[in-house]
Amino acid sequence: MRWYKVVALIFRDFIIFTRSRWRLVEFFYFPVTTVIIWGFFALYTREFARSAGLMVLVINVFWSFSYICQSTINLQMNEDIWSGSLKQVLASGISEFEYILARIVSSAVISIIIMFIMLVVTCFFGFSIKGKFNTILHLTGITLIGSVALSVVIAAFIIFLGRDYAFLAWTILQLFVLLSAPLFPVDILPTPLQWLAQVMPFTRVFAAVRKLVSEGSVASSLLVDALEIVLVYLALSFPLYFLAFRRARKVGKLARMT
Amino acid sequence: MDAIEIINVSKRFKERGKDILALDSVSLQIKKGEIFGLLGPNGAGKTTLLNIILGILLPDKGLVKVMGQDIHRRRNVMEKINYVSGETRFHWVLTIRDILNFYGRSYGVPKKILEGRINKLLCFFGIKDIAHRKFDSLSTGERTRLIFAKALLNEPQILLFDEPTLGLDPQIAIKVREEIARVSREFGTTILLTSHYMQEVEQLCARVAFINKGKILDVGSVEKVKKNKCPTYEVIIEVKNIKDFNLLRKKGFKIRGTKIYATLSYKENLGEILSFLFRNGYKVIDLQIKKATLEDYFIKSLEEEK
Repeated sequence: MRWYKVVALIFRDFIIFTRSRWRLVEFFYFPVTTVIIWGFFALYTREFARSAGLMVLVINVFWSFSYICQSTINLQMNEDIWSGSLKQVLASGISEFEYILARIVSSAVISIIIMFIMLVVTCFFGFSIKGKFNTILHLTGITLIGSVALSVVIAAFIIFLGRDYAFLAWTILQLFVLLSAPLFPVDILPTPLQWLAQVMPFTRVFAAVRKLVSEGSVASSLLVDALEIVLVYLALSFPLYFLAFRRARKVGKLARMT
Repeated sequence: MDAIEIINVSKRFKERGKDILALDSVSLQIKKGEIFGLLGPNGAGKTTLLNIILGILLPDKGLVKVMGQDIHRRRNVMEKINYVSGETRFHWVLTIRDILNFYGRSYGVPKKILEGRINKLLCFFGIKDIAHRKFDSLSTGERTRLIFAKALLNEPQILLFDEPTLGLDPQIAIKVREEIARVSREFGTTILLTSHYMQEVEQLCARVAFINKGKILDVGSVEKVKKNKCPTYEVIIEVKNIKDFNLLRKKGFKIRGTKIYATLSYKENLGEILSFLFRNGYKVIDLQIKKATLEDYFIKSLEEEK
């Protein structure tokens, strides 16, 4: 791996990010306003529903964090496809691993900054970080790994299926979140969906967040379980990504895409 | 050692259930420092071959060596190549300077010399004053100059041009051709150029390969390739009236109206034709001698393929 290529891509990503107003709107305005809306909802419901509003608020923070992390990686790739510059980028000798790694790094930096802002905003609506910082840090790390793994899988699908499937970048996560039982326990879901929920990357993360809000602490075994499953996703995602690239190179999809 | 060595490369595609042979056992050697033209009609396999050289496409069979190294195993060799296509695009929000900075870094140009090289290229291509402008706001001519500047950033040993003048105004196309010739002259770069514009290839290239339906039909100097299939000269003689069709046809002439078409290998043979016509009582009104072009070769080759 050649770090100067990764650094060059990260450098370019940040220039594009700061020059694209819609991205600033998408990644700062929407998450922060969403947190504020659910923050007021938490204030309103605390009288009669105790921590339910707060639970929705914090779950939304992790949901938004996951979305920003995953979609940033995939949208950066999509923009290379849409602008017709992917071929030029790859022709400069950047490998598929260097390409995705740069996107992961720049996306992680951006989404962690936004996560920090969102967490600060939740404090104004009655969520206290005091005594929970370590757990939040662990959950943030696990969510980050899960989102990265999903984005690598989505990148593989877009490369494999072609540019017509670029919409997967902003749609797939919703399905994964739904099946991860975000605002409710898994046993609320119908039985077949419960089975699916068990293998979803964020099911244990959301369960841990609910526990954190309602009980103030999370059993370390739940965090370990959550970490294990996202690591499995991560381990599977990269071979899938390399396979998709190889296949796209073989059948000419990569050449046609750019 | 050749700059590019293409050894027995084949590639098949499946399109709408049909099996298409895009490249059929293609072998080529491109020497260091030469401008080599890959000529052929649309869909002949030119871009497929370039994509394989760039590593964007994997061949089903065969090997591509760049500076003696297998391109699909040693990606580092890509830093010695650069690529220009008529369809080259960059991200719309990046300025000219951003684009050159990014590609300079990604090609591994040391930071110390990158800034100086960018400034030199901006001046060389006359885009220094607009270096702050975004790609989206550039005219076609400005984009072309940026693409050339980007192509020279890593001081490539090999430059691949894929239809560099496709869809350009004739005036810009002339400038592009001048730039290609200048790059070759001033930097000694090996150039592989694909085009279906015969004039372009004839004007720029020392050697050419003619490709059709994925097969290399001919390789060699422009003159040699033309001679293989086309007579060197075509003579059009207009006479007052045609008296004896059969006699002229027997002599191998073609006749259209009052015009007699003859083909010659050497200009010196013209005297024989004229004296033959005078002997048979023909009065010559007009005479044109046309040198065979690569276009004649191109048309002839396609006719034969049919």
